[in-house]
Amino acid sequence: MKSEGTKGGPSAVGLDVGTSRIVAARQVDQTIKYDIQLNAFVSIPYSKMTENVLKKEGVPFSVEGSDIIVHGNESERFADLLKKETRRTMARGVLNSDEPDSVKLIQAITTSLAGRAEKGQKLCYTVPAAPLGAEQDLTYHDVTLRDMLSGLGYEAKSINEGLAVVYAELESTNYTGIGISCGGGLCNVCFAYLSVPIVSFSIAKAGDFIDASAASVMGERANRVRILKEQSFYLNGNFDDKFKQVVSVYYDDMMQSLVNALRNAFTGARNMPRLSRPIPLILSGGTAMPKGFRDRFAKIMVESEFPVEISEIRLAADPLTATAKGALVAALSDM
Amino acid sequence: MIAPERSQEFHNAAHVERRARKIDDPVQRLKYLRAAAAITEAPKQRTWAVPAMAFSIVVLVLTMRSDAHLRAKPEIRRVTPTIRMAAPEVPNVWRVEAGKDFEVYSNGLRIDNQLAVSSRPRSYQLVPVEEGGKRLAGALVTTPAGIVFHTTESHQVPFEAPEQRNLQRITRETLLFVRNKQAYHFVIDRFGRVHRIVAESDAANHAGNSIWADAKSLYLELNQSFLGIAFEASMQADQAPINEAQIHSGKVLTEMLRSKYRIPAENCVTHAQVSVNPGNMRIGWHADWGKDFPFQQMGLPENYELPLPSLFLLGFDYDPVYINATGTGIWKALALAEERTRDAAGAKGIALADYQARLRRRYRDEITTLRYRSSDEEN
Repeated sequence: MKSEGTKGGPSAVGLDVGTSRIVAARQVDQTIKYDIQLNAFVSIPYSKMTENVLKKEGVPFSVEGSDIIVHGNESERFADLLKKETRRTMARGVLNSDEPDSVKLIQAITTSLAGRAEKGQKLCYTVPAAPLGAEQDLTYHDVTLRDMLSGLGYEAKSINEGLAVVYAELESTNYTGIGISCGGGLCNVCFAYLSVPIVSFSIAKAGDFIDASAASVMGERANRVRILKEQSFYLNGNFDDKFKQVVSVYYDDMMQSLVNALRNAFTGARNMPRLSRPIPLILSGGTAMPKGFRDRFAKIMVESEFPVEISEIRLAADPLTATAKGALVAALSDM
Repeated sequence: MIAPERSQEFHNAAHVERRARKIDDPVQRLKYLRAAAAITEAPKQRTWAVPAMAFSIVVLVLTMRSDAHLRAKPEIRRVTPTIRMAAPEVPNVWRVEAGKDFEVYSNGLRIDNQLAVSSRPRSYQLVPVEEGGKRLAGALVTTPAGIVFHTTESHQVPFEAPEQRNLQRITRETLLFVRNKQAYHFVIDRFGRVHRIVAESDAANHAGNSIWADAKSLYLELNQSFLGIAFEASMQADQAPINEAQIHSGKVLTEMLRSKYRIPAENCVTHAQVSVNPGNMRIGWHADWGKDFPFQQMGLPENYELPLPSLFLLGFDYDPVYINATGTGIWKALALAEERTRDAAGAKGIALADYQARLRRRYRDEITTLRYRSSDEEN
């Protein structure tokens, strides 16, 4: 990446605010530096000894009444140790209305990743598109995040997650193609033509759906399923292991839903530019990372009789950070 | 790579794509595409000759606001129209006091005349903007038609009190150099002081090969027809090119000149907007103030967005170097100029390349006439 932002000004920040993780991207010299934290927390009953141990270990936490709140990456370890579920600041791609302190916790995680802004520092953060079949109002989510980030001193603007994937990966086609971010709460899709978003939507089947569905079948905690899934799961359609078989079934379900939604969206799209050449499709996000995901998705796409010719289906160079990179590119291009 | 055959929204996509491919930097490329997309969706404006239209270009700005509101039904993302506002009216400015070495004006402008020199008297012929338009035989104009803003691109030290002596030394050396070259009519130094260099009645050597046009006339080689105001500044510096004092002085000086010569706002432009290289028929031989010129703080509309006459009237082209040296405002102007060129070619039923070749022939004819007249006068 060559651009260095505003001459002499503070570097821009790209922030992917996902249901599972928050990723910050920042340009350092000619490379991009990423910092990642889980967007989760766990509460532990307060004791002076626990507080001292956490301080000694350098674990980020806050004290809320009679609880100690451990947030970010460490929350998962503590939840596993205490055999508790981590709690989420977000659900299905937006702020979790069941967690009244969600904004405060996102702010704490963001501060640990990006710090407070220098004067005039720009930040672009991701927001989902409206889910198909659940046209909830996303204004509250968007405005609340913007206010929170402005409170940290940033000049903050939002960008659709799928569009961020396009900005991160499709420079070679002049930012034309389909970007998909398969996250925890949602799969976000954006088709952009010459950088302009034409079709954007999301579906509410993603990583959390797989974890929760598999957990209910296996009598396991969803958090445990997620850890196992990220550590050892791969998709090849032939399993002796029950865990892998169950997870595979729900992965298939998610991919079928995603491809169906894509086909319907493109079939029904009005004012679609006439494309004289095939377009690329990029998969990103933590849920797209298991081995075999791309091949399985490509097979379902081929079977779907998709109305637009696709030139290639590939994973983003780094599926976990692509969205944050795209948000950074958007922030830099806005300088 | 992906070119729509025909689409209302993206009818110039192939051209935009080709241009974008020449930009290596991904961020700059994205900037260009977003600017081009904004212009692509702007309503067409076909009558450049109507004066009022020059101030009412409707530019649709593609913002980076959330598109989270795109609903389940796929839809074209619409952009927000913003109306280009007319410039604020020029206040009536008059000279209040004049001493041996200074002048003071009613808007607070103070001009230092200590370095003022004469050059050759201003005199130029008006060229009708329409090809083949009627010329007023023998009518020569001696008042300036516009202003070109420059940077001196001189050495810069930090604008801090400990650098006081260096700052003054560099300013003095810059002013003497400019005076020796008769390079500008005015220089605004880093302390905001306005220095008259070349007399307003004379031509200065500030713009060389350059082109601009307003609703009625085409101006070539703007040394004769436009005043040159230079800010002691560098576009290569890490900080903003000019400071508050310079901005204020630029504003009151521009007000005075516009008031005195009735200069229309559309004729107040930057060097990067007018400079051309006839050797390769590309624009941007000089690119000072290719971006970041504070038009609005000068009491002017955002003139960066005016389509460049060098492209749509005289067939010039631009390259990636120019894109890199300029900002989104000029990119919008490029897109508008290209669209205007295509429309004109279409209206005449001529292939675009043939039409551009015809425009370039016009430039050569006009410049030959201009130089013939100049040499005739000298004889």
